[in-house]
Amino acid sequence: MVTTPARGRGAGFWLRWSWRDFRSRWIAILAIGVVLAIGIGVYAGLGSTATWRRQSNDASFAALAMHDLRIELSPGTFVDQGTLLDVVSGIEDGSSIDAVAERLVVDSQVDTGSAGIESALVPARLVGMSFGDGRPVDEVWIRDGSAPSDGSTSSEATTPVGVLEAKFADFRGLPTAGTVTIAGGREVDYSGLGVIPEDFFYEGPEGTIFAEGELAILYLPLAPTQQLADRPGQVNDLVMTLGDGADRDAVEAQLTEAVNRAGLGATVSTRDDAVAVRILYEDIDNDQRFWNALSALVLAAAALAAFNLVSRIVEAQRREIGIGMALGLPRPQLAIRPLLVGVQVAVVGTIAGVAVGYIVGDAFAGVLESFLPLPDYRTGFQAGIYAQAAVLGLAVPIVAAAIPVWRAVRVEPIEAIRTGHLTAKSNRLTDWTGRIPLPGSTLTRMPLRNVLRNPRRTVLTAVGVGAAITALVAVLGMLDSFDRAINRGGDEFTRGGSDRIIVQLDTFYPSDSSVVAELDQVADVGRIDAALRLPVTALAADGNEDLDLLIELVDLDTARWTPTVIDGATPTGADGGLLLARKAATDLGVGVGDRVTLRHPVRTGAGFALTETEVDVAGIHGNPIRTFVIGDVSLASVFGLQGAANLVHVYPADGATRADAQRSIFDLPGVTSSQPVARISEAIDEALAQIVSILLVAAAAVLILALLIAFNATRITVEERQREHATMRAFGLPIRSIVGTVVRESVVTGVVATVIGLAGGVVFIQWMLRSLATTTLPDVGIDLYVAPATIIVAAVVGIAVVALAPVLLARRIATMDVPDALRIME
Amino acid sequence: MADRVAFDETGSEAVDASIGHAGTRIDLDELTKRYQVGEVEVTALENINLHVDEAAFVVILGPSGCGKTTLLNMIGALDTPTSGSVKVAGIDLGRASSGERAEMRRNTVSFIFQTFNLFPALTAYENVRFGADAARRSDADDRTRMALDQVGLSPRQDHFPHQLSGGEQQRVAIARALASGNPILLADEPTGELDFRTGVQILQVLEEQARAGMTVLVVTHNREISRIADRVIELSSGHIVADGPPAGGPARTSDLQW
Repeated sequence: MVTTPARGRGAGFWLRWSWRDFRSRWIAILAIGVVLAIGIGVYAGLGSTATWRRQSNDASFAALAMHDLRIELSPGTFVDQGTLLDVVSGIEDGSSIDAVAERLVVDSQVDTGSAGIESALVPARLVGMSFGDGRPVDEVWIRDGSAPSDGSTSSEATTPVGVLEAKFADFRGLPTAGTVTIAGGREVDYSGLGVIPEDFFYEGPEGTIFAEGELAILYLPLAPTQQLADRPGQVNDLVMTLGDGADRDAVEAQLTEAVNRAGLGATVSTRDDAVAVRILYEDIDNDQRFWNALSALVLAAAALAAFNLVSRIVEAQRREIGIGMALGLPRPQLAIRPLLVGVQVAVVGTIAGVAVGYIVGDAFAGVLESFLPLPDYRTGFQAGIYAQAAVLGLAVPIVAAAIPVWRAVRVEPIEAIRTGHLTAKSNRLTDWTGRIPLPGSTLTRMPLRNVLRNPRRTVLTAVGVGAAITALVAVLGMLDSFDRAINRGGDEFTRGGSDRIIVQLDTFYPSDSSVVAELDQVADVGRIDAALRLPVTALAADGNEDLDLLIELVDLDTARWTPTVIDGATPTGADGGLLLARKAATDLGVGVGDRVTLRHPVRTGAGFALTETEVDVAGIHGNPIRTFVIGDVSLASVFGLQGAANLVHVYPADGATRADAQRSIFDLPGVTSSQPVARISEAIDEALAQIVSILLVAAAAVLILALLIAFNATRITVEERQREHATMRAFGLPIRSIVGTVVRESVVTGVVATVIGLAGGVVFIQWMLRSLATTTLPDVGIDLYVAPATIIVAAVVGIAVVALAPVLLARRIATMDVPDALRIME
Repeated sequence: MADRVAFDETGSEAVDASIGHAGTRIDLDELTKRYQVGEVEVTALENINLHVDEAAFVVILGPSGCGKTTLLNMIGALDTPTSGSVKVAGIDLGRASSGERAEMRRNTVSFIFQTFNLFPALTAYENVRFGADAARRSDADDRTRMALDQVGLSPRQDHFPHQLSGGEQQRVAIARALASGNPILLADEPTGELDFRTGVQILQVLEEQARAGMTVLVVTHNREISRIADRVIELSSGHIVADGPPAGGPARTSDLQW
């Protein structure tokens, strides 16, 4: 009976052998393990945040009884308190309503100077609502301080007391309780900082996001708000929750019908239409897709690195495998030892990956809580996601190892045990490219020849590094694209002068009214242009989605600010049509010269009614924000508002600053808010700067990743080329020349990796932008843009860092035992 | 002979300088080399005294482990002695810096290895050209073509090593050494990987170089090969046990049998 050395050996035998293998190449295994750990750490850590966010959102919205349905009257219109309640109670499914509350929501202006902090004038929103009366709906979460006391809820309270929105207070550094001054010079005390569920995330002035410091929201009892807004006994908003089992769509339809029947210009929206709900929930999926894709890239890089390493090990063990075959060992046993290398990488990567995941998750939880403060944050350990990550971490390197092992054990024993020149294999690409004459000395040619000689390995390494660069380009390119969109928006806002101030009036006034005229007479104001801004719904043809837009009508012949027309022509006259944002035109499926149907309010006596009008698309304006539609003021007749204005563009007088002008008009009657247009893009830039700092950390991590992959690949190359380097040294080549050839070879790989990374990054960004465009940020037209700086960073990482890796291994080449290396049998 | 003269005529100043002086003389005095293998000290060479004149064809003969490759590595400036001295072209390699030793390898000695050690990614032409480039010869292309011609491989110059037979690969290795223009050729078991017929062809090429004025040192365990040398130095356990011409005088390569 023939026995073989390893047949019948137990696990201990293989583990001991594997341990010895580990000791001989522990640096490579740790390096790949770390690459893998980053991949599964990102997957596990950020994967957990999706569950945290969903659970936290659910709990927070539920805790504050977020409304199911909301009725909002058209801007500038109000009804007597109780009118909306009557409309609601009259619907067929009125019994399914669980809680309902009328509110008064008005725009205003806040001067934070009176709170003892640096004076700043910012647009504000006053939300008059109930505090603890009846069944709760859209309650305020008091994060710090306290709710207004009972005595402060009546209109007789001398100084109204409310709650200031917490993120604004944080951004502006305001205390837990204090006093602010609102438009008209009225002081308002706030007893605490908090938020209602619909403001967990909100858009700032002019549709800005992440601009918490630019909109002050004050939650006040209803009666004092009516007094402050000079709307005693009036409301313009209603929110309600429905009981279990209620048919929300049916109730929404009934409400819409009832509102129209009552002749109210109003929109009915659901909880899902609220920006906070849309962003907080849909952003989870988008973020998760982004992080999953990033971790997939890192995992792919790790898999390729593991594949490279195991291939080399298998190649090194080729003769041993052949001897095993010659001794009659079954293939599964031959595969054990090289597969155990994959297991080593898997174990190291998984253990480290779980730790990385915990660190990443913990850090991200802190970032989340600071960016989006919610009343009920749930950040428990997500065993399921960690288990998934662990399975991935174990599977990826083992599968990567299995492929070269499978190939190795399929060869004939005689082929496996051959030595010397008989082992050399033909390579069609090398044979073909060998005919291409290359310039320069052999040292110049050698790197390219080496790359061509082993294209598979070159591609594997390049794809590994390229995956890391893809992640880097994806992160930076997303920022570039955002930044460009913001700059385009900023440029558009500041056309005609960066000191333009948009002044919102509390209702519609004749353009020649005293309210408008007074603005022009202020000493610090140099010029004004009256305008109209109204909400409209553009009805899409061909099954596209209807869009809620904001139409602004200005005198396009005389106004100082007019939009850039990037396609089509500037509309003139009442029949001249509209200018749409490119994104709006695309989403609506219309182009220049087409017609679009608008559903809009039209003034009928004292109130408004909804109607539909077809209007030409005269052109496309340059603002990337989809919401903005621009038309000539002569279109006001379509809305029954000819000669009226609810918005004024104000320009400071010569010698006056925008702050001077803003302060001068603060107390004027009819003025609810003023917002310098330059401040809008400044605020977004500030918000973006916070995100950039986080992403730069990600970029640094990717850089380390690329270096690790490159280092590992180069290490393998240096080991493989040991004999060639020894031969070079035998011919007297200086170490720097030998390292130079390896560096040049790495540069070639790096260039390929950079090209792969840039192409991959562009595809990744396109995919993300498409995803964002349809879900999280449908209102912004973001075009793909990769800045030259990003390309340079990618090239630095892809080429310079990859080229640096051989330098780290120069010592290995310098200290090699040349005679010993020359005797190595192939 | 004509080829060798042509090399000298077209060589750079460095070539002329190394060949023109007593540059090819090899002097070993009381040379000892010891290695540490684990906890055991191994004496590879002990008190070796050896002097080789220019243009000699020397075979260093001995069984495996006798120290003959170590001796070749010492002469080729790949290794340094534990004690004693190795002088090549008048330079004491034991005292030379690593840079000076590299320069010695670049401009004075060339190697031929048992396993050829060709660069697999380079064609035959490029492998040979490497020898000239490493020695920084300004007429590298001419030297390369001439060396390929000498070993009869010009028609195969665009082939990669894996497309060549073992004998052809070794001839490429010899051409690489010749293209460097260095006056000393060190061959470590040059026929070890080859069959008899091919081995004889390789020895013929080496013999031609020696006859053309090159100093050629061949290390082998094959006593038959030593018959073609001018001088045979026999090693055993790190000591020279015999030194002199082969018994019966040098034979022709066509007379060899193994």
